[in-house]
Amino acid sequence: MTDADFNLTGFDIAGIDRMQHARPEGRVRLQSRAAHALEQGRMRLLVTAAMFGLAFGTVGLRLVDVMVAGRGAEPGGGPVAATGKPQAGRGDIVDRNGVLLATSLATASLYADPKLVIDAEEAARKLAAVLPDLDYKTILASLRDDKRFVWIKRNLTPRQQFEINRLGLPGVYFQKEERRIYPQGNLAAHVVGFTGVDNNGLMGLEQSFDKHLKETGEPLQLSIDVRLQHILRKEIQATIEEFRAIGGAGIIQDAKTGEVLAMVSLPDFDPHVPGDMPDDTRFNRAALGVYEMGSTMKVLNTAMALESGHVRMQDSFDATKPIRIGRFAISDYHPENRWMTVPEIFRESSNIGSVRMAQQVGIQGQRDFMAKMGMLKPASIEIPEIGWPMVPNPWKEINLMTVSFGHGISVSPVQLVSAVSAIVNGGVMHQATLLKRPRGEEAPGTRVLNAQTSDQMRKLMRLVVTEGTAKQAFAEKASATTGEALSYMVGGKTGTAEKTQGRVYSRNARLSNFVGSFPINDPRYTIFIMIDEPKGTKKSFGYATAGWTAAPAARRVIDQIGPLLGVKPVNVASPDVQQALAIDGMRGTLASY
Amino acid sequence: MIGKSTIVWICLATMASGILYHTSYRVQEQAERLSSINRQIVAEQEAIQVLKAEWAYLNDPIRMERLVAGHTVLQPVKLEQMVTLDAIPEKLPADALVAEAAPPAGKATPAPKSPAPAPTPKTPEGPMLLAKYGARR
Repeated sequence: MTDADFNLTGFDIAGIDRMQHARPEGRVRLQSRAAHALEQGRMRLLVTAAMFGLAFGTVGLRLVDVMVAGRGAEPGGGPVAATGKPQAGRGDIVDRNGVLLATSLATASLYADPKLVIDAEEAARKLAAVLPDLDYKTILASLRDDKRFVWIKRNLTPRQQFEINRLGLPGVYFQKEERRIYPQGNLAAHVVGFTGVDNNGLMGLEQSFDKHLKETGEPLQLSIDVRLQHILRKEIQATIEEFRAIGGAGIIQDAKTGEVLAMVSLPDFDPHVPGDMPDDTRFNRAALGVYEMGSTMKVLNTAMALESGHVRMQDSFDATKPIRIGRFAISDYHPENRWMTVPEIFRESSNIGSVRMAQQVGIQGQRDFMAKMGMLKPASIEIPEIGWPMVPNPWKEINLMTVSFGHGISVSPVQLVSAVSAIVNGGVMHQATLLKRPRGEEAPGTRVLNAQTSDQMRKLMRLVVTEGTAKQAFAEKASATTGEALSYMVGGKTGTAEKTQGRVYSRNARLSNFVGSFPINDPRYTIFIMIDEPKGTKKSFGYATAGWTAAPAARRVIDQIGPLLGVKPVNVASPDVQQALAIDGMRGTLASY
Repeated sequence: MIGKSTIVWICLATMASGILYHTSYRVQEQAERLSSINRQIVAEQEAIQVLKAEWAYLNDPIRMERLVAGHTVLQPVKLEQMVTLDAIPEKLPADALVAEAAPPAGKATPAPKSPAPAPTPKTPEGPMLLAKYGARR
């Protein structure tokens, strides 16, 4: 600064000062250029010092803030230990007791960046040696591919990973991946389903809960009980083998909540390699398949007749001769050729009697009842494989007749089981579910039947087991010493339907099924077993009807699951029990029978 | 020409930087440890997942049934084997039952005999074998 008379603004402030008013006090003032410069320098120093002071003060305050007050720590609370859930993305599927049905394991997958592979031939040769299931040529082709990323093999075993790592090939890398494992194998394959190579659910609950499993990673608890599932599957399998059947299905349902405790469809598949088996194995007969159930539908027909009020237990119906309608004749498998009461019709599974009972209700009444029991629309169970029932349309007189004994209407086993549960449990319909309901919570349901009708149906179903078509299978042996006959008190109905082949019913292709509940005095569980196309054996005297196939299987299942479920066996020889299940007006006829 | 206070300040600054370096190295060390522990936790969790899967696989009912059939004489419970407390004839006086059911504390009683009489032991090997399993355990 050469001219000290001018300050930074260009005005001679000192000069103005001098001109305007003289200083009152006699202060010593250096009026030289040096004094100005000094003043200015001091001023600047002061400003700079203030700036620095401010800056350091801010830093200091911030330090105090961070260290003493402890605020403003690093975002996200700083590094913490990775406790909690494992990173494995897709959630587990467990049964009602927590047994694993599906889980995800971390595995390594091998990929290559062909641009970085130096010697493709050598690399391919070495890899083919370690991975014997891949051949040299395919590896070489993929290594020579004009891409930056090619999969070589997904989901290596730890040993393979180690071997490949030891080869030290450039351009070959591992990618951490997840692999879905089903520890129970085939056991609940149709319920759980399976996933594809990219861990997308492709069937069963894996598909319907794909989003839930992927996003939350939380386990999905099913209503299935692995133990019951195994017992049911084992016995159906044994029956299929014994009677050289082509397949089978079975369901065990909690009659009071609608929870499905076991759902079996045979033949089944290994969910790890679903593509290796014939397509037929992936078909879920228990939910996707719809069948003409035959006589088991008489449970619904009888409940409908009793519920309508037009038919009472003691009423008799003319079953003296087959019913002719158009070119069809409806006859009985064991013709009685007489008038029969409702219990007799149910016990003997009379088609003619069932038709007569349905006629009392009428077409509209029958249709409404079937709709109420969920027979006309698909079951609302959680898996995607749900069969659409085949229902008569238009619903004419002939349909009224055939539906009464379970023909001309095809429903899935899930639908039938849910309806039977509702009929025996006091008349409340619970939707079938594969997910465990919270304990102690009232299961949602709608009343479809009077408690009194339900009581009558229980007695009728017991009658079939003690004296009717399932008598052979469920016979209780009275103990020689005590005279007691212990039983889980099963009540049920057998059904043997001829399968349609093309447009005609076949005498040789049958569908034998049994639906039952136990303990019948206060039903807790409903069981359904269906055997597809059983053939008679020497042991069954050539019979392949439900009384010889499905009913004995159900008996064996119930005998094994009874203790697991904590069902108390009852002495059926005791007068109290017999009294409780006696049917009014039935005594006389029974004695004469 | 270094003043006393300057020396003090230099000392303080040296000390502070020393502490700072020490702290920063320790933080680095801890961070490394943390990430190694985190890796370990993930590895352990994966191992647990594998073990869980294996446990479920080994407890597969088909395998269990085969093992039980091969190595034990256990069978599914029969109807006659289930008895309610009312069905048991009252032979022992009430106090004797209580005494046997709840032995005095501290007195180790290996495999206490159930107060309920075994329901008609037709096959004596069964209960005997069971007792052996209990003793081995």
